[in-house]
Order: sequence, then structure tokens, then C-alpha cells
Amino acid sequence: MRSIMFLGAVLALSYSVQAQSQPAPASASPAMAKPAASSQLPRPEPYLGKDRLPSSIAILPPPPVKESIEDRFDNETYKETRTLAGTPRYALATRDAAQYVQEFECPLGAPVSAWPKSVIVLLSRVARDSSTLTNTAKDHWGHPRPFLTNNGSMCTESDRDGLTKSPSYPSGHATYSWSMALILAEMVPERATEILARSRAFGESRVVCGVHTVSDITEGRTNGSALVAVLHSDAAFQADLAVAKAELRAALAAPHPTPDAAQCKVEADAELHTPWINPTAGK
Amino acid sequence: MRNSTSGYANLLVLLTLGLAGCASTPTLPFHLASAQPKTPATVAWTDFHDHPAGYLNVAQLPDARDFLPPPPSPDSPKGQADLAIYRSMKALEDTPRWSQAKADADVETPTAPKAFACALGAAVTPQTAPRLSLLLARVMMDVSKAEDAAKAAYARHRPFLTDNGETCVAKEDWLVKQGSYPSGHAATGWAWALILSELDPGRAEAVMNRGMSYGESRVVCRVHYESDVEAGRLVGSAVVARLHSDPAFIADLKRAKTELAAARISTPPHGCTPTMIARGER
Repeated sequence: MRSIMFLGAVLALSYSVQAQSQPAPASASPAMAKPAASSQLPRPEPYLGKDRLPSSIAILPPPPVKESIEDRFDNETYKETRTLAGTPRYALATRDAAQYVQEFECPLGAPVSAWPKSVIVLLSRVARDSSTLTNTAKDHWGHPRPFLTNNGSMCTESDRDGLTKSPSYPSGHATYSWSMALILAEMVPERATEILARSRAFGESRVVCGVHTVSDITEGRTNGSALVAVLHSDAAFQADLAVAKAELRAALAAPHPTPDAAQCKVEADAELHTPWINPTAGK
Repeated sequence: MRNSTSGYANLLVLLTLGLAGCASTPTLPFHLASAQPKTPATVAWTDFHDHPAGYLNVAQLPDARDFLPPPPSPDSPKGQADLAIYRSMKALEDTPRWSQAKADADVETPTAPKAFACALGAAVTPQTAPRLSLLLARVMMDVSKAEDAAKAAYARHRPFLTDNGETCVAKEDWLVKQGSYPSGHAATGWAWALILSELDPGRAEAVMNRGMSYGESRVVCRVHYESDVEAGRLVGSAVVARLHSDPAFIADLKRAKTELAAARISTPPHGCTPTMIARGER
């Protein structure tokens, strides 16, 4: 998703927005970059940048070849998941399309407004590196989005143009989500299971939405764990992580507001049913 | 996982090169290395029978049952793709990729990290890097603890039990009885790759490429479904995340970094080609 280039800015914005208990930004359209640029938080710098990041092309397998078993599975799954339109799972996918750090409010038991700024800034910087890592592979392979391959619908039609221009493989959402999940699980290990389950379902939302294939999100997670591994070799990341961890733990231990219980229930239900694996009650 | 036979053409050529130089002639086998009287004090264990314990206990680790989806049912779309990929792997029998899968079937420490020798440019053994060698062994046990409950609870049959076929290794009793989902090899191999990449980010591409193909080898070997391997990698990354909040692991990691740098100078692996193990089309 090309607009992920603006993710860092959106994250910064989402922090200031969330702090006022407003709903999440409706989309990550490039237009979002402008208000973010004038918000109080500066655009966060990446930790590693292109020169120090490994190439995702060397790490990830190529996307499925046309008409291979996996390609057929990917396209069949796209078609099958179109039947979810109108369900709570589809509504969650639509919501998740515009979620960044807010994705983890329920597993952490605290809305973003209760998180320390150090956590938001760290994750925003990680998002910059995530975007670079992802775009290298996206641009290299130029794999088409499933809604284009199959000439069909998806859950964020207002983003159709932007998504059409951005290749599908691997998923940027799955990449940053899994990398953030691993980092948050390291900070709050007692919530690791909930954090990881949420991120896994968040990636699945991209398939339900119709904007990514299963292969895209599977290797997006691989990409996300690769990113965290190399981030751990960076002294600045390590230093920020130590501070953010201590502050987050203190914030979670102090009295704080709780996320919306109904929304958390929707997310928990989604975690129990993956449409192409155990769809039974997911609809 | 690769399922296009034609797509393997490049892979096979490159693999032959790689295998000739590296994977088929890895570093000194451990039982020979340990015969050297130089540093006997570092030889702490030989295999699973006297294996060092992990860093964490079960309750401290994320439980794979709770963050992974269950294995795909046979009639689900993913279950059907899994079976089709398993069947397509027959085309690789007796190829160099099959031989690689056979070599990668070794997951026991202290020998198994030899899979990363060429990618790392260093042999990791109890002689060359005792702390790192021990660290990798302990991590394997933590990975096992994170997913054993899932393997037992789901008890997914191995693909060769559902659809009889040749496997790259003998169908030993443990293999037949142990649940297929998620893959312990893929989890361990990916966890090792993440840790080794952290220790030497300059070699992260080659190390992670090897970590990925090490897991893929389980599908090529026909002892795991693709979804087992994909789920295994998630477990591997989750365990590594959890280990990063363990002070003993972090302390060992720091010492291991120094060791790895020294091992590269003292015992570089022989005969490695610069070529990474190529990834086939899929």
C-alpha cells in the first residue's frame, strides 16, 4: 500500500487524535500526511533506513506463480471471502484497514490515549522501516491485488486508486502489525498471547477486505519478524525500547480507561475463526 | 512452498552448486569435533537425552494454541491446498533439493546449527562458540514448550499418513505419533535465524534466507504440510520476542555476539559458495 509511506505521519496524528478520545482516522490516504505534518509530533525518523535494512527480496519467497496451487488458493479465497460482506467480520476488516497502533488497544486493555508517548514514537519509527522493507519487495515483484486479478469488490472502495497503484505482495499491514506485536509482546510478555492473536486476525482482515491474498499476509508476518530481528541490533532502538517498556508497564499498572468492550468482543470473535481455515461461526 | 516443478529448474542448478560446496560437506561433524581433546569442558551434551533446559517455563511462554488458528480441516480451502502441495512435492524426490531436505532434518543440537554455517560464515559448535551453541540449544527447548501443547491438542496427522507417500527421512515412531501442526523444525529454524540475524545483521539476508529454506525443507521432505511450517515460523518469532524480556537470555546473547565474531576468524566453514540457497517459484 503506497500510502503506508505516510504511516509514520498517520501514527503521529493518530496519537494526538486518540489523546482526545476521537475515532481513528478513516483512512491512510496521502491527504492524511498534511495535517500530520502540522501536528505537534515531528515525522519520526526510521531506525535503520534503506541502507541498513536487509532486502526483503532475499528473505521472502517469491509470490505465487500464476495458476500454481497457491495462486489458485489465493484467488479462491478472495472469492469465498466476498461472501462475508455485510457481516461483523467484514465490518472489522473495514475498521482494521485504518488501524495502526490502535489495533492493540484490546489486547493491552488500554486505549492509545493511556499509552506513553515513548511507545507511540517508537512504533512510528518502526513503521518507517517497515514501510521501506515492504516496498522493496512490493516494487520488485509487482504482484497484483486480488480485487484486480479477480475484478471484484473490496472493503475500502475509497482507497481503490491508491491500492491499485501499490503492489500486493507482501502485505504492509501484516508486516507492521506483526513487528509491532512482537515488540509489544516483548514489553508486556504477560499479554503476549492476546497481542499475537490480535495481530494474526488483523492480518486476516486484509484478506477479508479483499485487498490482499493469504500469501501476502503470511509473508508479511515473516517480513515483520525479520524487521524486529535486525532492529534488535540497533543501539538506538534498544535504548528507546527500554524506556518505552518501563513507561508502558507503569502506565498499564496505573489506573487508566479501558477500551470499548463491545469492540473487544468483535475482535475476540474474529480471532476464533479464520475464514479459509475454520470458518464455521465466523459469519 | 514451491509447487511448480518447472520453477525448480533454477533452484536445482543453484542448489547443486550450494550443496556441492556447503550443505553436503558442512563443518566438522560434532562427534568428530568433540573427539578433539582441546576444550572438552565445553562439551555439555550430545543429543535430546542429556539436552540443556530452556530459559523459560511453559507458563512464561505464549501458548501456540491461543494465538495460532487451529490447523486447517481437510475440507477447508487451506487444507486442500496443503494436500495438493504435499502431492506436488513428489516431483522433488531424489533431487538435490530432496537431499537438502534430508540434511535439514537434523534439528538436534549441538549439531543442527551447522545449517547456518555457510550463511553465517562461521561454524557454531560447542568448541567454536560454546555460549552461542548452548543458547541455540536452550532456545530450541523453549520453542518446543511453546508448541508442544498445540501439537498434542490438535494431533494433526502427518501428510504421509493421510496420503501415503515417500518421505525424505525414515518414518520413525516419533514422527508418526507426533502432531504435524505446527512444525517444530520450522519454528526452531526461524527462531535461530532471527537470533543469528540480530547477532550479525550484516548477514541477515543469507541467514534468514537459510532459516526460511530450512523450514521449507519439511514440506519438501513430505513430513509436514505447508500450513504447519507457516504456523511454526509464527511460533518461532513469538518465542524470540518473549525471550527478549528474559535477563538470562539477554546476558547470553551479548556474550554470544563476541563469540560469533571470534568464531568467524578462527573457524570459517570450508567450501561455501557465495550463493544463497535459491528459493524456487511457487
